[in-house]
Amino acid sequence: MNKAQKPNVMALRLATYIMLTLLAVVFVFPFYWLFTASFKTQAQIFVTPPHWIPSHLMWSNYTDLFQQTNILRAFFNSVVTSAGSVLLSLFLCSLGGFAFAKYPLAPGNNRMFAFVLGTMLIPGAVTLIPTFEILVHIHWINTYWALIVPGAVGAFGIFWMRQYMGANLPDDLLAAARIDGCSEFGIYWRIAVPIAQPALAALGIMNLIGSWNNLMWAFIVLRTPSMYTLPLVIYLMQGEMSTPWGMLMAGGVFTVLPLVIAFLLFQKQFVAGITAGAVKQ
Amino acid sequence: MNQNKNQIRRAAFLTLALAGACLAGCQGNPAVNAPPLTAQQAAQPVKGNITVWSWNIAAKALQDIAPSFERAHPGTRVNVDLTGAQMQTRFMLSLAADVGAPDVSQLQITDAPHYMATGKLADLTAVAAKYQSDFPASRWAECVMNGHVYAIPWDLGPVAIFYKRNIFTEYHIDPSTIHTWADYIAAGKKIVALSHGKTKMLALGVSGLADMFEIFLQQTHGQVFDDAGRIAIDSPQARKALELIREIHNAGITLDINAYGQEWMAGFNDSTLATYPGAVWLGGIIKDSHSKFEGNSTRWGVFRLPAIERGGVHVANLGGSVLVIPKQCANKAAAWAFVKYALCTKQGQLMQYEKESLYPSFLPALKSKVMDKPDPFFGDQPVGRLFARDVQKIWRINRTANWAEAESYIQQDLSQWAAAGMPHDHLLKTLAVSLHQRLDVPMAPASELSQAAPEVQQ
Repeated sequence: MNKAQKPNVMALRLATYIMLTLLAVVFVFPFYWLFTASFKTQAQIFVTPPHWIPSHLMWSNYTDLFQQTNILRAFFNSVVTSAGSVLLSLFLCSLGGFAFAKYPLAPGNNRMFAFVLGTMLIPGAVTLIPTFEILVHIHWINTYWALIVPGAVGAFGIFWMRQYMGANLPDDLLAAARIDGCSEFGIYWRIAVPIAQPALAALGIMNLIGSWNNLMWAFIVLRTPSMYTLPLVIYLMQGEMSTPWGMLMAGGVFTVLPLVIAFLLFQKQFVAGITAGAVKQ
Repeated sequence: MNQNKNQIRRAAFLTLALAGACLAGCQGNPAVNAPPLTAQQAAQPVKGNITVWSWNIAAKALQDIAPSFERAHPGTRVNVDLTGAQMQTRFMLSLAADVGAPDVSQLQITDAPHYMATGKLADLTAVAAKYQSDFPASRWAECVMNGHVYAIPWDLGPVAIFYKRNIFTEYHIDPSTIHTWADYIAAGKKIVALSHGKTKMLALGVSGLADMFEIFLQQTHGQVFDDAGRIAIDSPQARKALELIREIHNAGITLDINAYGQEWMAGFNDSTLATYPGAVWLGGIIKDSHSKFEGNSTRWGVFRLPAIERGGVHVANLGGSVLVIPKQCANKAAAWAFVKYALCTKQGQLMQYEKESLYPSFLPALKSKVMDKPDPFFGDQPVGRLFARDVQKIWRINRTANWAEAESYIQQDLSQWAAAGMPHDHLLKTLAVSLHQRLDVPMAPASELSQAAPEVQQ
């Protein structure tokens, strides 16, 4: 590198950091607004020009949230349905992905895979009513199963795992396991799953975000307050005549926080999983 | 190898156990399949919690009467829930799923048939049929489907003309001389001429056309659907209704603004509009708006709905609600006791009228002296009595399960018709075909509809 190039590199780096800082501000701002609004009165939230920092902290939004809504029960419901949904989805998608990636000679493998991919073309909204009807008939409405099972296997998840396993799971390793007497399910469970951990973590985070924030399906299948999940409790705070915005924002903070913590904890695996297929090895 | 087999066995066992647990929790709601409420059950003392879904002043009215109901029925507790978004959608979903519905719910009269057709509302025939003669026949008919009673009428929406006394006095118009729509148009022309176009007689924007059409359809004794549920909108009666709208529009007495919009509301308190044809509940909105303007000099009065022809009917209805009990309600006896108290007693209905201006459809309540009370806001007119006149003569509109959908198509086509300058074309024929195609409902034979309109007499 010659001396003339150095200032250019510095300038590029500086521009990159400025751009990243600006983007970070854009992405962080809604969270900042949510957090500060959760400590404001109704009037302070809508005042113009806005008060960027609340003059004093209104804890009553949080106390009201716990007194007027069953938020802890909703939190429990969200944890159960999201955890159930993520675990079942990871198991079934990795199983499907493993089969598509490592059994290319199985009859109908390619056609079946094309069919699975084809289902991605069906808009989710189209399946709402038929799925609801099915759940009514098997009496799953207003149960955890209604949130966990219908979305457990998605074409994207299977595709994601197939691509990862196809690229990162050497056939020789599987052949060696077979010679050692390992069963096919054993190969999947003992060899494929551990190797696919980064992809599983990334898929898990994506599924967690989807199921944690799931409002429309929860609105349709959950019918009694004791079964409501966090997004539903927040949505139903909107009244016919007025909406307690401060309490709604407090509910928003309570809902977003676990997701942010989960992301920070699994950030490394998430990024590793996302970028795994991007680098040619 | 054996270890793997054991793993698979364990997984299979777990799956079966999971499915078993699921199915164990999959018993339907027993209340849904329970036989309808009987008169004997209803006669027993009731207790327990009753959850009611309602909104707006209707919910407040129920909250007002809840304490006296609880006193009359010790051991009961009424919880009127008016919070939460999308109440109607949630109610429909809860009916479909047989779980999660309240014990009692409010429904708009226009939406009620749609819910009745689901077969998920409790059949109240055994306990409610005896109250039939206590309600206007038209309203009761709207609560009945296939001979069974599924809803109880709540408030009624008789229509009259709200007018500004100060404007009528200024232009020397005596409202008692307005008997027909022709008289109304003539008075409107006079006001427009004398005010040099500053004051119009009424607002007639596209959003108000469907209401106007329904008022005239009732006055001409027309229908959208005939008694057999077939499309019957292309009739002489409906044509007459359209002609009347065209006549009012072409008289130059209307202001093209949308009902319930800002300009329309602002018109309450200035001199742009002389009258507002509307249902009884509009009075509450006018009063509320008036109270917000200090020093407002507008003085209001009410006169009866003009008839199509002299000696014709002066009544029509817009809006109103009913209360229903879902089949899945576990304590139907208590729910019915509350509905009965709220809607089938003079005490319950009058309390709601006096506190929240909810106009009763219960005829004994309409006969009460409370209705004769002069209303200072309307120049001491006994407005309650004026609206109560001839409610028994309100024409019964056949509201089918797809009424709300049909109404939206009618509104849409009327808007297009108005935008095109209300031409003398085949709007009704086109509308009938379009309803037939969109709703998959047969059309009544033209021969049955082409008969002359019945003589609509008082």
